[in-house]
Amino acid sequence: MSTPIDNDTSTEDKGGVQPPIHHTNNISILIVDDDKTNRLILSTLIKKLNYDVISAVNGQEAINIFENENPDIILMDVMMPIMNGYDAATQIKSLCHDVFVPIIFLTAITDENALAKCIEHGGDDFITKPYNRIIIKAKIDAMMRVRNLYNKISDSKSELQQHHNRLQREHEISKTIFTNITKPNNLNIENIKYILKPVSITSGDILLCSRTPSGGIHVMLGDFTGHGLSAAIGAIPVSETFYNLSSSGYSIGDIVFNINKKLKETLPPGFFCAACIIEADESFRSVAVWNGGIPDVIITSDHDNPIKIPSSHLPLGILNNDEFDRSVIFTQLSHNNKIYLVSDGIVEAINSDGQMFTQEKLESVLYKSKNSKESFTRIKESIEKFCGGTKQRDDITLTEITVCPLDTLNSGSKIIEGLYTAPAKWNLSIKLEAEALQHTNPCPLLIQSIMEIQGISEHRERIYTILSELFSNSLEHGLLELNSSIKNNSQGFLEYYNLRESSLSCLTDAHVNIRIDHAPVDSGGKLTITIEDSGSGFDVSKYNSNLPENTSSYGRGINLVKSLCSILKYSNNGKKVEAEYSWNIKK
Amino acid sequence: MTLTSHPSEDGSAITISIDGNFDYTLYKGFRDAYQKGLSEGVTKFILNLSKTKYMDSSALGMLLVLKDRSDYGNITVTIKNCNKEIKNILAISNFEKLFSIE
Repeated sequence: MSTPIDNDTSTEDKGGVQPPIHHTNNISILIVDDDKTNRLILSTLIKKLNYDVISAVNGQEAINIFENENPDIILMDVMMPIMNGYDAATQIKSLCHDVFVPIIFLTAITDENALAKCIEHGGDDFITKPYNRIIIKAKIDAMMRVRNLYNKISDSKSELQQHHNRLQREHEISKTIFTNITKPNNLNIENIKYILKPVSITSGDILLCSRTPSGGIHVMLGDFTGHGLSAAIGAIPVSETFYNLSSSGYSIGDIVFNINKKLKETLPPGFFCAACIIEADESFRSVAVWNGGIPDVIITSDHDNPIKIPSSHLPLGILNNDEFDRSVIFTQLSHNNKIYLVSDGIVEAINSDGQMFTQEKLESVLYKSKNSKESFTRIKESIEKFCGGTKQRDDITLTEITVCPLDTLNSGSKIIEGLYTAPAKWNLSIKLEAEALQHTNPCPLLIQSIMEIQGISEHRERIYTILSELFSNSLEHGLLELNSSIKNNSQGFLEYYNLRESSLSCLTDAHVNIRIDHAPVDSGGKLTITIEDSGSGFDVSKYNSNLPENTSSYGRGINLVKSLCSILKYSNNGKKVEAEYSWNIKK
Repeated sequence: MTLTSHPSEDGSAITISIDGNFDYTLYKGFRDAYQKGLSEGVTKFILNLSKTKYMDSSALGMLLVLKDRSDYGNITVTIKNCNKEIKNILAISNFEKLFSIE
């Protein structure tokens, strides 16, 4: 071994060109060299640099000291008895695990292969003899910088790991809560099939389903902004409100109104829930739909053209109470119709070429199925095939409701718990003269009174639809003698309403009588709505015909009203109409 | 995906243009853009979506936040040049009731 010579005469100040590194006293450097003189020279030099020094005389001793004293940097000679520097370096590196302990080889060798061998054995750098104190200081400083950086990264990594673990755990907790709260406890209703495919552990899509006190069903599909945890949080108030109100016998108008109110109060701005809620009565003769931001509800039939009910409202959680529109769309049903509710995750699903599944494709798959029994499976398969192995981008929900009368299990006479007051005998009537007709719509007042007296809010939308359809027929056709065929095109629609307004403002000497009778019957109550006008009568059959299949026909027409009532009877040349609506409290 | 915003010559309006997908990754850029506009006292925001391919529900959420902030200061928000898909997304959510869409 050559004798190291410190022939550097420069002052320490020169080393200060680099940003100064502030040494703390506890940085320790292990010097491994079998030559006593070398150790002495080197340790004197390093002590002057303000580091603590530990010494070892061979590789084996270095390993022992390393394990007990945790030095920060190791300066290692190559040729030593008992264990050489290469083997010691290899073993020390394997003991380091996640900690970075730089090993700098001390060598007189200038053979490039031998230097490369130092690095191969885990060395991080080398210093060739004779020692130059500036170079030694520079190399130790550089290694300390690397070591600090390494430790910082390692700390961040373990912190990140901890965060990840905590997040994972919180996700699992929320998943349990989410599953319990939105528990589709009623999704085992035999005529409802569904698939829910969330992107992450928790879903931004929720599907809720409930039997109403009078035996019908409520189904709600909600799709929150985004997906994952933040989306799932909103599911809690939604499902609570839904189940509470639905099981207490509130109508879907009340349910959407209250969910909107709750979300508007609790959600941050820019966060909302697209939702569609549908209600079918026990006999499944008609369905009421409130759609705010969900793709078209599609109703297919083996014989007739499909019916589509588009979204006609803003999603829930955006509008204030006074701006909120709770109106629903009714449509008639016949047996073996199927109702499809999908979230936009389906129509916007992306395949490997970046193309979307689209509404058109969904419909073509639906309509192509000859046997409607297979439609559900077909859609499911065609989406899976379409997406292939592509990463799912949004939560996917598909629901199919088959129209068939629900089983009436508890056939024993059982009082259904609800908001109802015991059916009573009462009537109320109102006569509106021309002036009142110009300024008042009596329907909201009447529906409010019916609800106050009898508490049958589950039937609110249906009764309201009957009432307002019959009233507007009497007013528009009976008194104003308007012809609804004008409405057949979109321009005519506007014309019709302009005409209605001008005729109404000239109306004199006319009246409409509305009388509502309620009486208890065996199973519940019977409501009779009678409307009579002072007009010259109109040919009901003219307005009875099915309106053309266009969007304006939703929720319109005498046929629809017929499907909502147990009896609908026009008399006195169309001047008088009587509608009977029954509701049950016993099954 | 890029978001750029340009003030009009007289400084009364800001046009925000989105190239690519309009989704949650643009959240910060979008917020920065409208906040800059609000602090400069613009009277009109124009969203130019001519190069926007797709928008997700968080983008709809960002639009609502923009509307919320704009309503305070009587600032109008106009959405322009939407492709068919985006028009459809806006229509399903009935956003034409809240925004003027050209």
